[in-house]
Amino acid sequence: MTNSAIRSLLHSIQLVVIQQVGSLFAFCLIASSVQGQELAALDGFITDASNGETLISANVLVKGTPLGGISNLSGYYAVSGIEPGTYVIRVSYIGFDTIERDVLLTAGESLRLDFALTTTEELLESIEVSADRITEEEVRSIGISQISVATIQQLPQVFEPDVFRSLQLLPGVAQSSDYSSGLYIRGGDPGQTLILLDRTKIYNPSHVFGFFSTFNTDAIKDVRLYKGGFPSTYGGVLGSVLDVQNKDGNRRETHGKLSLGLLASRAFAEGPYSKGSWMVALRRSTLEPLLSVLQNIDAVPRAFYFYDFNGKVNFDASLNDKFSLSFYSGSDYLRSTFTQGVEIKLLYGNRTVTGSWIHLWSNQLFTTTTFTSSWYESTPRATFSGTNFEQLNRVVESSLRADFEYYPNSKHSIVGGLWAGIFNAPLTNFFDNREVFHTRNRVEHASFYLQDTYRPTPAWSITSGLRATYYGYGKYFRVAPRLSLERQLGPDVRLQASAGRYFQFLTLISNEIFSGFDFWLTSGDGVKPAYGDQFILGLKTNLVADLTLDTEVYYRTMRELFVLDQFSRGLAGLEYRELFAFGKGMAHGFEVQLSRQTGQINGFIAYTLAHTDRFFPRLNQDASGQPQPYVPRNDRLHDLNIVAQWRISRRWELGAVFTYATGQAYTRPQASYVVYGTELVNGFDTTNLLVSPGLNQSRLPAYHRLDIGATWTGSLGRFADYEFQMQVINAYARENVWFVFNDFEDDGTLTRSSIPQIPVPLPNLSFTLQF
Amino acid sequence: MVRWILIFGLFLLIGACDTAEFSVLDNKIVVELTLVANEPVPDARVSSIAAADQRNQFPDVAISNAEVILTTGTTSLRLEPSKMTPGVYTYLGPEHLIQPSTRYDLRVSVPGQANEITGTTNVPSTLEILTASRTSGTYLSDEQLVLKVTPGRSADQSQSSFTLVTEALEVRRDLAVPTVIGFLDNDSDLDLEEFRISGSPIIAEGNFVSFPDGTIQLIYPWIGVSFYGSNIIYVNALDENLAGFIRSAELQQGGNGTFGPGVIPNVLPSLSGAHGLFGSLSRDTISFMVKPPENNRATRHSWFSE
Repeated sequence: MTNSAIRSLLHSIQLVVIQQVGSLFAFCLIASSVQGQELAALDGFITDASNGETLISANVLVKGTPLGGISNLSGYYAVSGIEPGTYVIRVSYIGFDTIERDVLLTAGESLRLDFALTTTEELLESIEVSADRITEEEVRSIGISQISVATIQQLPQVFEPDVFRSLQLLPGVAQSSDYSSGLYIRGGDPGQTLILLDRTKIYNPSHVFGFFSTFNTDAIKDVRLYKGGFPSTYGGVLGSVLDVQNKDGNRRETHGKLSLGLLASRAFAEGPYSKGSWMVALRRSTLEPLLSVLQNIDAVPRAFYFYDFNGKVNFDASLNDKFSLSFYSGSDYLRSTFTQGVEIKLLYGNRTVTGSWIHLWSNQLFTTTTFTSSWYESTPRATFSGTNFEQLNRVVESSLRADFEYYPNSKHSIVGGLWAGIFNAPLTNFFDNREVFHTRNRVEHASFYLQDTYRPTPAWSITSGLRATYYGYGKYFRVAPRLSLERQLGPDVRLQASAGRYFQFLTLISNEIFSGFDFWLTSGDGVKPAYGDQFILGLKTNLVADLTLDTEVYYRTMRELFVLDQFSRGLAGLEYRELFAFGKGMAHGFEVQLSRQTGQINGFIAYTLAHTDRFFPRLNQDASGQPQPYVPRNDRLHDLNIVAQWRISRRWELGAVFTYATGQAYTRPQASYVVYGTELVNGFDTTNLLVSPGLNQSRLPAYHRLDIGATWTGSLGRFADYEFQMQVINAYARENVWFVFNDFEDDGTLTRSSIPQIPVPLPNLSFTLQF
Repeated sequence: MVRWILIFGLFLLIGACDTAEFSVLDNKIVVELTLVANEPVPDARVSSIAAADQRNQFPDVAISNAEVILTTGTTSLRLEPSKMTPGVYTYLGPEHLIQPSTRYDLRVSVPGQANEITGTTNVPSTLEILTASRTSGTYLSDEQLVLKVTPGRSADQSQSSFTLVTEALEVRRDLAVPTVIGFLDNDSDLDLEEFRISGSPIIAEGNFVSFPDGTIQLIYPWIGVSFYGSNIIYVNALDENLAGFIRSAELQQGGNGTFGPGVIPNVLPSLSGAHGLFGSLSRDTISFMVKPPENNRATRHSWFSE
């Protein structure tokens, strides 16, 4: 697609969006004032009857009409524009019994109707397929993928159930290696994904320097991934959004859970109190005994631990007012001595606080006011022959946001909001106890968004939105139009399309091998925000009773990318813009997912056919010095994941995950040369150089791996239930290559060594007690 | 429904095609010439690259029939092939000292090669050590060597790019600092002689204190010392070509970059039509005596003493 074609298309979208949004309020006010006198409305919260947790994206249908709604992140739904009469209201959610309730609605009535869904014994056992077709419309909206927390906890995984490693199984999400949980979504880098925990951004969502993600699955209720084409509600990134919600805590009974694992152990407790609920979850590594035994081995750290702590308190002030306060704290600590006089110490971690107030002004207007605070700090310190190196790297962001959802009539639902905050990211480097670099990116930012979902007929849905952002450093003002369309082609087929522009004001400076040094830099004077356009086409089908087939094709651009210039001779003394290399990229691909979410055997098959490339002027120059595009390591032509779970009986469940992917791109030097006269310049008597025909022009062997696991559950009478998990990662000992290491023999011959990923079957055991 | 799936499939075929083209190795020649301000014209080397699976010893890849001409202004300096060492080219004309703050151009022609090899370097201004705080200091103490130097900058540089290289005049195990002993004990393949000369990565001028008169204060870090006793410290100010080359070499060796493992960029070119290096630098030296600390114990603050 040419630049002019993209610009033309975006311009058209922008006009449509502006026209629609501009006329929206007048239309809605008229519509609501006219219809509100004659028509009825329904609204309320949908919860899990067993524990009171709100259910996100549950379906509400007014049977016999095209009217319906979907519960939002707070479990709230609203349906308006209902003709007076008697109706059957049907509420469904995957894994729960479908509820039907008769209601009589009179003219002008606004009926508050909360639903508590239960899980039947049959569904618990997953032996019988639910009789109802489960559409999960919101979850299957364009660009969205979801994986349930229960699935994450059951999948065979390295040492710990992990959110990011589970997401890597979804179509369009690539992993970089067995050692990294980084998310490479639709050709984007990890820094292009906005990661939210209870609406607050997490700036370094990793433990063990990237091996795991920071989320404790005990504490999590919902994981939603917008791989692309995300709505105006979100912004600030080019690629994707991961929205994670903490559990509210059980509103019925107090419960606890203890888990023992090989790497870490977890404790969890939740319960009700007179005005709401609470939840706390703690996870900590338990490697100290092992480290103390291995202290005589040079490569073993002198000290290492990680922990995280999640908590949430809900206060239900009234039927129409709910308050919540959630917090997270997590840290990793490493201290290592490599040899005499060479030591490294690293502490990094995140803390977040989210306070929110949900208020129902009427059955048409729902607001959420949120205060967020996020803190990330990484302080790597090293001493080498008495010379100290230190980096103080911190991100502190506080923001206030107000969001509303307005349901004026049966054809429109409007969301909008304001978000303002201060982002402060001081970065200071010390060398030999002297400050040698300091940048203080204190930025005020504000965003406004407005989005309307218009359903002119039951078969059509048009969502148009605008997001405007002001970014103080550099005084950038950017407007991002978004448009998505959905057409119901038949009872079981939906065609979806989406286009939009996205801006990103931050860039993540990260090393794929070690996330502990990650830091963020911002756009600013002379450094424009990156931007990109996304175009997505999707087809969602229900094949048979419980089989769904979702396909999407996407094309996206990445422009004005700014990354730390690797050829720079250090950060000190440079103008801000001189820190960066500027480039661009693109990605396109096709994704298909065949899923079965219920039944004795369930799971999914996900396949991705994709390509992405990057273009940076000083990288990958050809023989004439002209820069050429190159593929990043995360480019995969083929990526196949098969996930299966089989509940054999009430006590036994088996799981398996098979992955196949095109080998990663890497640079394979084809020649070398030696420069001899540099000894008094850099200390090396000879400098061996590699020559490659292009950056990342070769491919490692294809990656494939099978992980298997079994779960045995039982009961200790009335006291507690237990779960014992046995898993084997890389069951058939595939020696996948991580990267190729090049070295020179004394005679100048180049030798290549393959550095393996997890090369042997890796067992994993865990025991969980739930009471 | 099948009809819609088929139509959708057509879109997929259009949208998800994969194309990739990669460049090839066209330049075969390697040229190396590094000029040092206020010093005579050094030897140049001309050779060819070696295939990855071949030995890469200079005599095997040397090219002896090239024409190597260095020019500055109207002065043309021809470097003649050495009769003793194939592939080495020596300037045999009237004495010419490399002029600081001056542009030099290099032209190399190799018979049978269609493309001409050219390069340009802007020699940095003279780097001179104006003052030194001391002539000796105790290792890891506060008695660090503090130098005041002239900037050593070339016309196209906004700030200097320094390297500090230390050469020990006496290489003995009993003189080695604890870190070197640690490396030797951990790796039996290492030889004490390999630590005789040690160099820093490139240190930008911004890491040091600049004075209003344009001079710069360099504080010599103890990390540069491998042996107690007499050491010679070379302070180098590099031109853009040499700085780019050294940084590229660091990146190829995986140093300090954010590239993923296995991602190896080629060296930033300093020549058109060839690989290698055509660069320049300014340099000054000073002697410094390093005394071992009492009881051979480090006395300096470390993060690990916290």
